Amino acid sequence: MAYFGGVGGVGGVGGVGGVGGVGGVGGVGGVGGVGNLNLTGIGSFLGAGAGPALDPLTVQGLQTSAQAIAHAAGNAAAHTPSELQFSSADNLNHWADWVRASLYLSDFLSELHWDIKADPGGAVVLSHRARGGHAQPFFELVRPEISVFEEQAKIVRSYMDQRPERTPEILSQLGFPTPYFAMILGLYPARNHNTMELISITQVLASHVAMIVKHHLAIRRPDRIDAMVLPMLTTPGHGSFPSAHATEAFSVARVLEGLIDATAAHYPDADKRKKLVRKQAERVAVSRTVAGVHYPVDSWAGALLGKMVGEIVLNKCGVSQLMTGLKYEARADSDFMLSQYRDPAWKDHGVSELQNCKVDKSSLFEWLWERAVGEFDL
Amino acid sequence: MSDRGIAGSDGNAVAALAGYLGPYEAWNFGIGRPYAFPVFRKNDSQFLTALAEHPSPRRPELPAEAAPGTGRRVWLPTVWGRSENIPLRFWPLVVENKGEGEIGLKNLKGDLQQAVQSPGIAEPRYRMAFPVAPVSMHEDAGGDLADPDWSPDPEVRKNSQGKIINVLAVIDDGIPFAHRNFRAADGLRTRLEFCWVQSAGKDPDAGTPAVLFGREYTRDVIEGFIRDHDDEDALYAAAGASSEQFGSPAAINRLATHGAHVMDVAAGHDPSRFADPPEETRLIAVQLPNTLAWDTSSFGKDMYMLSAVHYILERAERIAAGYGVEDIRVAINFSYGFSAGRHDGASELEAAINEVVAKRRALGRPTAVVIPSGNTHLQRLHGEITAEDLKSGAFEFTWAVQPTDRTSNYLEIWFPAGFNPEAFTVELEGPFRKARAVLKLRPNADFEDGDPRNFEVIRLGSRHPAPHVGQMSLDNHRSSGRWRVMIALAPSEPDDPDLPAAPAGDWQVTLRRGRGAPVDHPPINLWVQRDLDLEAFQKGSRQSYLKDPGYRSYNDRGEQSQTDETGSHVRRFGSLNGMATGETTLIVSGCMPSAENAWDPTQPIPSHYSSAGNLSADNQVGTVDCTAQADRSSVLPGRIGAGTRSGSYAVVQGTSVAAPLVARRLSEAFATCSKEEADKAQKENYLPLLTKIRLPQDDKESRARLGDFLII
Repeated sequence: MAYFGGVGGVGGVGGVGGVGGVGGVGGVGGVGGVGNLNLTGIGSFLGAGAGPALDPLTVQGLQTSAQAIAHAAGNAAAHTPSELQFSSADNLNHWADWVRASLYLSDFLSELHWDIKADPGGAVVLSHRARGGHAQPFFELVRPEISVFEEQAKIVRSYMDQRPERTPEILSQLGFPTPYFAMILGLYPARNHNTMELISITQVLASHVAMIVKHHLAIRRPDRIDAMVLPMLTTPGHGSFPSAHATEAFSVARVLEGLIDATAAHYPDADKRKKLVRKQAERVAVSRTVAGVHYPVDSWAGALLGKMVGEIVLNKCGVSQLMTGLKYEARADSDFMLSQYRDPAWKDHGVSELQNCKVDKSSLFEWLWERAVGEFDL
Repeated sequence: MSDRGIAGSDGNAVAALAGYLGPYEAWNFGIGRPYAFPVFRKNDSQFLTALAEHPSPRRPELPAEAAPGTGRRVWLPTVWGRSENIPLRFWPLVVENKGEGEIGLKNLKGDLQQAVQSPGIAEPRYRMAFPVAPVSMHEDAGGDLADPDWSPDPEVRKNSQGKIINVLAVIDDGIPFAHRNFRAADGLRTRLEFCWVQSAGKDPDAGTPAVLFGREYTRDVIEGFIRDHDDEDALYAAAGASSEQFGSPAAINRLATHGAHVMDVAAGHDPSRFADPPEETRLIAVQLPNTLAWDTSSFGKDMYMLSAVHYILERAERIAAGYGVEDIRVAINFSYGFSAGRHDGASELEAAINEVVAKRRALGRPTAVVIPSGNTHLQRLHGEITAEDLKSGAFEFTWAVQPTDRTSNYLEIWFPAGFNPEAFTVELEGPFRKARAVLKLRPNADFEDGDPRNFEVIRLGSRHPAPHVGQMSLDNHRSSGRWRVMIALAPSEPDDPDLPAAPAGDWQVTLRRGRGAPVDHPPINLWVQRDLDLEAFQKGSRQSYLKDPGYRSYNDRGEQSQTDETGSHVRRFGSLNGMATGETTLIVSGCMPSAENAWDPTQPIPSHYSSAGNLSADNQVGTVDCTAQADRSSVLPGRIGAGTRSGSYAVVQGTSVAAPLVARRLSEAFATCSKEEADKAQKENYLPLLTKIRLPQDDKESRARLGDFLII
């Protein structure tokens, strides 16, 4: 008997060549549909939209030609130049992609605060604080005891046998898994570049937030506490808890749910697409456990954090202004499953609610949201 | 000798357990235990499965709840014919093991006799096997299991006007019981009436259980799960069908399983087709434990398999009563097999299945069992030693054992019926003479009870004490006059590197004839036991094989040769599935369209791996009855069928996916044929009922591999 991957069989997926050092800032295309290899960080915004760095010969040629032609412009008076609008989101259109990304990121991080609780076993509390406002906690992640992860490693091992069938997904999701969400919504780069930008910036924000939390909680990866995990990837250079992949995937899922709701007339089957977006996020998260680099509770923490990041993005986009904060205390026997990722089922997995948190809209995000929604006219 | 002593002390008695339980048991519970399925190694299994064979049929009185005097409990799972008090020789059992932290084989055997044996009846024979996990076992089940909470679907009669309601059943792994392809046209009702997942954790809410171990899902329950869950991952988790057992993750969590594919070919109905699924065919499924992950040789599952057949037939009678059908017709697909065995229909499992099927047929209830012919045609697992080969008085052959093999290897030598090999010896020599053993093929009188037998330990090197790396045995199998030599070798790379390993390389086996032995006899058969590993289960098995320079893998045209040339004892023909030789089973090989016939689907050629019986006139090995497509073509291997989740597909290749097509066509025939037609077709295992294409009869080899008919 023989099994073959999918219909037609999956050819061996060759190793991904070293995507090590990032090259120069040459003209990278737009943000849309970039295939994502190994980059998270600021992802496909890196250098996106930047003009080309010219070679010395061209620079010299420009100068000599400037001298040679300048006389032909003549001496007629110029009229007064018009000005761009002061402090206006309308100008975003003029800026390079990476500049907008920088602005979104700065806007978001300027309102994000984190408090570190040392007692009893350590916790990180994330708050939202607008300029002049007070801190509103929206996420609390308690550092689990090491025994939780010892138990979790057993669940990690039980997922190992799915490695052969998930290898293509795992290797093509080393970076942001944008194509896996684009597939569900039928996104096309030329038509949906604003939606792509929304997805990308959501992932970037989620990634930054996850790194802050990971840094403080400092949890060792499964392969460091159980020799039999034997991960199929190079274990990433950051802590295990929470999973950044889960944070990113679930933040995107949350934003896309909002986008689908806002464009309800576009799809005849909006509810199905929302279910698939959530299910895809689950699969992305669980595939990291299959690969041997994350515990299921990492996915739990990441999925909850991702939901919060997604809701902050939606609030900044002006979709709503309120969100309910969450607290997570990991349970040793908890596997991560979408069916449990909702109230009240998640109470059994250590999820509880914090107070409501109010997040004001941001002109930057509103600008992007309006354009993304505009891509779904009929 | 204490139980503890079995694994520890030296000498041949070590291999030959005090009570007879067959050479595979002797190895896996005895000196081979450190290499066996990890749960055996730990020695703490509380519940063991067993297959009891009584010298004559006996009624299904339950063994006393506790065997008198021993405190050891014995249970009977769901068995067919219990309410009708039908006597049978073979019974599946679960026995409690109280070996003080070890599998107390010697005591257990004695207790079994006390518990099961009726006074004055000759001693029964047992096959011991894999354990039942405590999380699956309803140990508080008393003498009687409850009736399943089941009632017929009122829509079925209405939706199957003019058709005869019948049962189609599948025994396999990873059964996706909620899959849309097994539902009725409305997508809400399922056609699957009963599904028994043998290794699922027991239902925590069950009062009195309806199955002794694992979990049963009736149609109502499955429909409830379908109503409550769009997400099938969540569905199987909520149903308790996706938890791991004995360290093996549940197959149902994978994208594709053998069972999902096989059941789809047998009974699936893609809702995108225009026709409605046939509601007159009611489905039953049994999911075996994750058997490949447990043992790669097929040892140890007999009781699980026999109890699956019993369960199907028992529940089929309930379906008959529920829908008011007399003598309900049942077709069972069992896509399973192994390469060794006696190949005359009389292995324990074949005889046991044959018995219950024959009893049911005798009551006028049509019962068909469809089995694939096997996939080992080109694997060099079969050989024949003829009288001519033995002319010089001895025949030497090579058994090649591969490096980095983490599981045991087995070679069986079977003598012809009625042939007494007592004047023969078998000599074994390991690679570079690292090991040597000689077995006299004469029963050892020291073994008083059980079948006549002899044992010899295979030791590594000549130092004392030399470590054991294998076992040679002789037995008169089931005291039936079929003598067998079995050689068991330890892995070449045991999981525990501190254990002695059997050296990889060429093991020389010499069959030597002594004075006074008959010189004229039918061929002596060799079968190497399968050692199958699917990548994902990571058991690390590597198939051993018969190596012979005279065996040509490629012919003069450079093609993989499909025929046996003279000059080698290693044979392709005769490699038939060891479970496919029974009297009441319908055997299906695999075929594909070929370029030479312009891909005409009605002129197929055998799939290159598809096994067949041998070509001689007095064929002891059995035959292929018919063939069905197993590959799309020589360049597109396998058939497309369902994966585990609704809407997913996978390609699976093998005779395993040909057999269920025949089972499907049988169920269609059962839905329309008259009682007379069914009765008349019974002795040919219902082949005459099928719509079929007669294949050319002139080519002997092609006929042996394809049978007389193509089923499409």
